[in-house]
Amino acid sequence: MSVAVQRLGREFRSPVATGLIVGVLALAIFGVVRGGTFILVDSLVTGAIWALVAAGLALTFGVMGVPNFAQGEFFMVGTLSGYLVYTALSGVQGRPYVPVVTILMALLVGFVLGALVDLAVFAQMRRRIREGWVMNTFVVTVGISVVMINAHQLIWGTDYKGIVAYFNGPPVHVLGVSIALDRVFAISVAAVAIAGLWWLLSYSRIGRAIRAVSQDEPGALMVGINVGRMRTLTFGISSGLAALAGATLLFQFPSFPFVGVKPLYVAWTVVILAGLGNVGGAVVAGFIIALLEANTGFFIGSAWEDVVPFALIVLILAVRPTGLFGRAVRSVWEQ
Amino acid sequence: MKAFLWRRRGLGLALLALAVLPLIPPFDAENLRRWLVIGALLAGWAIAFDFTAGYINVVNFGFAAFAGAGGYASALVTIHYGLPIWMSMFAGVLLAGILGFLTGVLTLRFRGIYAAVAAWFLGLALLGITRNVSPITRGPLGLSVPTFFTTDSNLPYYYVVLGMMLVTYLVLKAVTESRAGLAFRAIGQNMEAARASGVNPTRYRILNFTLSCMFAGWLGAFYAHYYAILTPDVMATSQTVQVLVAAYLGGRGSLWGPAAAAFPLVFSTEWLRSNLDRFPGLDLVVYGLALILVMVYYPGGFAELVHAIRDRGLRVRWGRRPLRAQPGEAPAVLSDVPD
Repeated sequence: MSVAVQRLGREFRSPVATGLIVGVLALAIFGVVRGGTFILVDSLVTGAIWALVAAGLALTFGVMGVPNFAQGEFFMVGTLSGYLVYTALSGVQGRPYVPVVTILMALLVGFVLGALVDLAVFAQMRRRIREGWVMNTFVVTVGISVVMINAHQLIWGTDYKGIVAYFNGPPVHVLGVSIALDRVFAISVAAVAIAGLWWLLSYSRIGRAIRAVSQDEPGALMVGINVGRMRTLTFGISSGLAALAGATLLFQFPSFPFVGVKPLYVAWTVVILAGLGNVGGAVVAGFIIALLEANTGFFIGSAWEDVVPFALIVLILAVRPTGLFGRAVRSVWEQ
Repeated sequence: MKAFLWRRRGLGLALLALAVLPLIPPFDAENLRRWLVIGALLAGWAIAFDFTAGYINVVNFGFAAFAGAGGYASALVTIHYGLPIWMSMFAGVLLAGILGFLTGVLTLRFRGIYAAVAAWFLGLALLGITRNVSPITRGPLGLSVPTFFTTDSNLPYYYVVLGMMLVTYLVLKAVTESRAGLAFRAIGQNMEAARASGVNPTRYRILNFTLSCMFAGWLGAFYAHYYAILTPDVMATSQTVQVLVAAYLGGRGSLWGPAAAAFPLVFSTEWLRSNLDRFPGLDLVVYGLALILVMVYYPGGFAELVHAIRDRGLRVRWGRRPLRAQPGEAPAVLSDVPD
């Protein structure tokens, strides 16, 4: 990750990046002046959560080369398990530790499910498929997404399963904007999770091994890293992060089969903007997209929130085909 | 001529079977005829999809949006200008072709997953626009569209869509068997090598995208005038996924495989939907599982299975050989020659 930060520093000296920074700052200032500070606060809260979902997506792609179309469905798993755990704990609701237990359980469920999916599907594919890995796994994740959405519908039905709020206290006032306690909770969870992920990837033994696999697979094999296990772990972590995000945002996204669609779109926009496989860039881009959405929603209308970012991303891609902070080495990704 | 017909005997037999199918007992019920119409429509779309995915190796993940745009164009032209449907359909072809052309130009610099995602985003943007310009498209309320025939029977629709599917197949097959087809495959396998051999990737990629989207839009126009109601949902990603499932189950790069897979796919999912309606979603679970299983264990799909049976009899080898050479086997490099 520190390498990513260095690369980010280097990238920011290029004219495109300078233009981007100026553009983002201009957008932020424009939004605050014409709309109000709430645009900034809103983008910070949603941006943190999108960063969480997108970081997982970037991680799976960087380490395993899997462009995960089912990332949104792990978000859905998070909302569902969050709902089930929270309602199961209804006897002790109101205690401050209950939401924490809820989101940790969702993280665990997401992690285990992700690891199982990797063992059942991607581990099998690695033993069989030689060429076209990226596109083949993409199509497989489409299948996984279809199965998960409809399994949810089959077992739990299509109705909304949500909660009113995790915390019922009075809102907090920051910069003249009142923020509900749940949103404060969400941004803190996202901050802790991103910091944890950063620590895990930068300093822990497991994180070093994961990075080794993403950088040089034969080399990692040679120094005795269990590459298969690292991939299972990576997919688990990434799914766990998405599930954590889902459970944290349960007050805003009640669980239903298609709840993962919006996070999926956003995560993909973020990851494409940042450059596939770039975890650090995904965190930065998460905030950019959130800012863009908040501005579009306020000035043009929330119906256009889905149109403007997509159109802009395609235009940005037309200028920089590997994303803003894309890697120089591209051959593997472009199979 | 005789040799030509003999070479096409498989196609002829398949067509004959498809043409008489709605007339013989189990299939002459109206609901089964409706399934046949849906099957033929999906088959046509899967052929057009495979023309891009299986040849230049770019998954057009915004496929349904282009098809839907064709449907909307055709519907709006009939409604506002009163043109006969068979003429207004060409407005659909034109719009989808232009959109495909622009997408081809815009995604030229991308490869693999980037191109797929760029096409996907363009499709989502198109869907969003269609949803939002409700004065023209009536948005999510749905546009009511004049139909081809006034009859309630599905039979005439079936022959229309079967003919459209056949035209799609024959035209795209002819293109892939020409020099352009060779160029497509070369670009799909290794763009640098293709460029080095004098193939102009720009021209062929744009040509491919434009053609594929034109046929998608044409069939989209049929969709509009068959269902008589058009909502933006026709452009959603889930529609693309249906086409993609048919194309991949059928086998990439064969054109006929996707068409052959579309019919059983539609029949099985529709059967599950109508007979097991206590379990909503079960049909799509089966759908997704089938896709996963085929992609993991037999990525060549139905077409490869047929080819393998033709070449080797029934001694089909399931799955690809593992990366490492087995003890006592020829080194992996020698056995790597693609068959």
